[in-house]
Order: sequence, then C-alpha cells, then structure tokens
Amino acid sequence: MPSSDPRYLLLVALVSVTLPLLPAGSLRLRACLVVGYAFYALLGLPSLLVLGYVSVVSYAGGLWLDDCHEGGRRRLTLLVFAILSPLLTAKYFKSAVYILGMDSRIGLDVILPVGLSFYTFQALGYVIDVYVGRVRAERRLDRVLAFLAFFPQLSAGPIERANHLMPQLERIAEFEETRVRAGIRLILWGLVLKVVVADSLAPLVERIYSNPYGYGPSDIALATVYFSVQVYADFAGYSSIAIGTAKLLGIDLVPNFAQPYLSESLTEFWRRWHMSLSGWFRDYVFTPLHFAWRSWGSAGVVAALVATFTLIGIWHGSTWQYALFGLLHGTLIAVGTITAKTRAHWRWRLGPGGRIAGAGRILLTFTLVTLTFVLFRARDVHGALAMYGALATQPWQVPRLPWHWPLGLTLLVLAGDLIAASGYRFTLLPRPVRWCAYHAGAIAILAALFGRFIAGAPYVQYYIYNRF
Amino acid sequence: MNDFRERVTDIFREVFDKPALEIFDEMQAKDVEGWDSLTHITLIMALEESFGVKFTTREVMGFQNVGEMLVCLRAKLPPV
Repeated sequence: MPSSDPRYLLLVALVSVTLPLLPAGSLRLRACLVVGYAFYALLGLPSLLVLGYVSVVSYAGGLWLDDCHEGGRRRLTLLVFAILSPLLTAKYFKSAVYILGMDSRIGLDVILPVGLSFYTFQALGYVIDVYVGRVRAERRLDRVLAFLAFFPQLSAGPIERANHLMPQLERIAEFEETRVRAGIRLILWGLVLKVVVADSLAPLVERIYSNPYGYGPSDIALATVYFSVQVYADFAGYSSIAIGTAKLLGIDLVPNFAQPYLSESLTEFWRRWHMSLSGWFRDYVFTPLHFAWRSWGSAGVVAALVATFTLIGIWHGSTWQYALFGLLHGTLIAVGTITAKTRAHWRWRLGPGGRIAGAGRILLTFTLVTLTFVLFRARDVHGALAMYGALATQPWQVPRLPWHWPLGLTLLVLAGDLIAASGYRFTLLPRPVRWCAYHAGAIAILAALFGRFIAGAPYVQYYIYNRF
Repeated sequence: MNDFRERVTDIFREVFDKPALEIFDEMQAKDVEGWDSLTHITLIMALEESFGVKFTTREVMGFQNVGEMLVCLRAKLPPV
C-alpha cells in the first residue's frame, strides 16, 4: 500500500491518535513495532520473514561485534554477507545466473520485497557503526526491531542511522503541537507532489518510453524532462509524506531532498538528491575506499568516486543501464573533482559572473542529470541508445506531447523549491494565505484522484523507488 | 599537550585554508566550511604525515568529532 493511498492516511491518523493513549516509553515503542510488522505483513509472509531475519541478525550481530574489542573484522565481514544475502538473492541472483551463462532454469523467480534494499542498508549501517564504535550495541531486541520496522520509512527510506533514530523511538508519540502541524503540512505537500504532479506526468513519460523508436527527438526530450520532474516529485513526495508521518508520531527523520535541481554542479546535486542514500554511500563506501587508496593521490580519489557511484547505480537494479548510469555519474563527478582547482582559478580570474552564471550552471547541471535519466528510465540499454541517437541525429519537430499543463506542474515544483531554498518560512505567511494554500492543495489532490477514478485509471500508483 | 593541540590547529588551518580557525572537541565537519568527504581524508593524511602515525579505516570511520580524533591521535604518540 503506497503512502498516497487514502487507506494509508487513515492508518496514520488512527496510529497517531491511539499511540499517545498508551503509557509513554517501551509500550508505545512495541505498539509501533507491531504496527510496522502488521503493515509489512500485508506484503505477504515471505517479506515479513525476511524483515525479521535481517533484524534479528543485526541485533545478534551488534552484540557479537560489541564483544570483541580487538579485531572483529572477520565477524563484520560475515555479518555484512548475512545481512546482504536476502537482498543479493532477490535483486541480483537472476542477473548473476544470466551473466555467468548458467542454465536459465536455475534462476528462481524471486520477488523483491518492498523496502528490502532500504532497511538492509539501515541494518548494515547499524552493525558497521557498532564495529567502528560510533554506537554501542543495543541490548534490547525490541529497539532494534522497531528501528528497522518504523513504518513511515519502511518501504523506501529515508535510510536512517542508529544514533539518530533509535534514541528518538524511546519517546515516540510524545505530543508537540508545532511538530504535528509541520507533519501535516509535509504530508499535504508530499501528496501534492505525488498525486498531482508525479502521477499526472507518469502516463506521458510511459507513452514515449514504452515505444522508444516511435517518437522524434522533441517528444523524447520533453518526456525526459517530464521524467526528471516526475521522479523528483514522486520520491520527494514519498519522502515528505514519510517525514511528515514520523513527525505526527514525534519522530524527526533525516531529510532526503534539498532542492536538488537548484544545484550548480553534479557533486552538489548528489549532496541534495536522495541524501540519506548518498550520505550512506559517502560514509560506508566512499570514505573507506578513499582512505584505503589515499596513497594513490588523484587516482585514488577518481577510483573511489567511480567505484562508489557505480555501486549506487547497481543499487537501483542489476541491469546494465543502472550500472552505466552510476558509472557515468561517477566519471563526471571525478572529472569535476580533479578539475575543481583549475575551474576555481579561472572563475577567480574571470570574475564570479553573478546570478546569470549561477543560473547557467544550474541549467547545465539539470541538463546533464536529465540526459543521464534517459539511461535510468529506458527499458534497456538499447532503448536508451536509440533515444540518444534520435536526440543527436533526427530533425526536431513540434512535439506531440502536451506541454501546457505539464509546464504548470513543473513551475509549481520549481516555485516550491525556490521558496524553500530562499529560506522563507511558510508559517510566516498570513493565516488566510496559508489556509488558501492548504485548501488549494487538498482540492488539487482530490480532483486528481477523482479524475483518475472517473477515467478508470488506477487512482493510486506505487512509487518509482518501491522497485529499488 | 598545548604544543600538540597547536600543531593540530595549524594543520586544520592549513588544510581548510582558514588562518584564524580554532578547534574544539565537539567540532564536527558541519562546523567548518569546506570540510567535506574529500578534505576529510586530506586532513587525516596531513595529520598522519605531520605526526608520523597511521590511522586504521576503523578509526577513521569512527571519528564523530575533533575530540575523538585527537584522543586517537594522542594515543598513537609516544608518552611525553
């Protein structure tokens, strides 16, 4: 059940009202844990068992690592494999069989449980943090179980850290009016992004990407820009609902997006896009790799960046297109990193360039990201290459895709980001203006849902990142 | 001990190119402009070179603030 489903919102309302009725402390934590497992049980018993397995291994692994003050590297390696094994099996086993040229009958038809890659990474972060001494191993099983099954972020993050989420779970459902208000606002904005923006653009993108050879460059370009807006609205919308839901329960989750399309470089983009994942890879993959290869100088930085981003690509899926997507980003960021000093020098000599140069860098970064999204969204590498070929060689004509209302939706997302980036607080607006915005948002959400219902289209769609 | 802290402060100032930078135990990356994942390793390498020590990956990943970094570094040096 995606969090834009009205039934999910009812569940959230029910939980946020009933949890505070319980005595504060452990009982609430356990009740929240039961809700998380009940929510996950809707996906089926195998998914539930996998969540339980990863959680229990993480709990026992944390204690096992805490026991050994020296060494422990072998224990950590074993634990990493034990925690990763369900994810590796569900996500990469079929591809490995195919790549190794083994009998295709060996490839079991394994279904990837929703959220597996997110809570697996959260579990890995926990045991690594215990190993390096960033957190103490948790003695109470219910805390570790609740940490990995906190229902607002169970299906697609944000990927939390033990030292941030675990201490908060102990004071779950402590009522604080400002936090609850902020939570409701975040849920509303998230629903606007998901239901009104992302789900409206999705059919246009699908029309072009399901038939990569059937359209000219202008339609491909337009659909790809729409996809950039769609995937952002989809995942930032999900994250906003997740963070908002957690706030209703008195929990602050880490931010996942910080207006990424206003970035002036790819490096900055990755600091502002899916921040909980990029931060995870920075701390647990890039830093140790860069440190291990520090004696190589610039080559070490390049190798660590390319390896990290290729792994981020493969995290999305086991197909070549995701690996290439990551490799491309890693290579571009590596080039950007090793030329940073030279570019800074020239910028100093030529002058800062003011806002126009800044806007140019934002536009260039957005264009680069959007171009790489062709690889990300295409059905396969061949489809992506056909689209790149059409963009580069075919004559541009008037697009067949509509552009008026998608432009309106894009401007809505952009306006939201510009206001957020300016640091202006929505709560400072006069009350009538705020309430007009709330009503407009609610009406837009209901109109979009009702419109899809009338048209016979699925009125609730899964999140793109539920697949990863 | 003060001499040790002054040496470390000088290294921080040089790495982050901030001649007036003062370090404190609770200081974290977010407190210093330009302290990102790249400069973090540059800082570690500068400390290693200056003090003639080697950190382990486990130690580097475990540092949560400057204080912890200094305690780890101090433990690697011969007693004064």
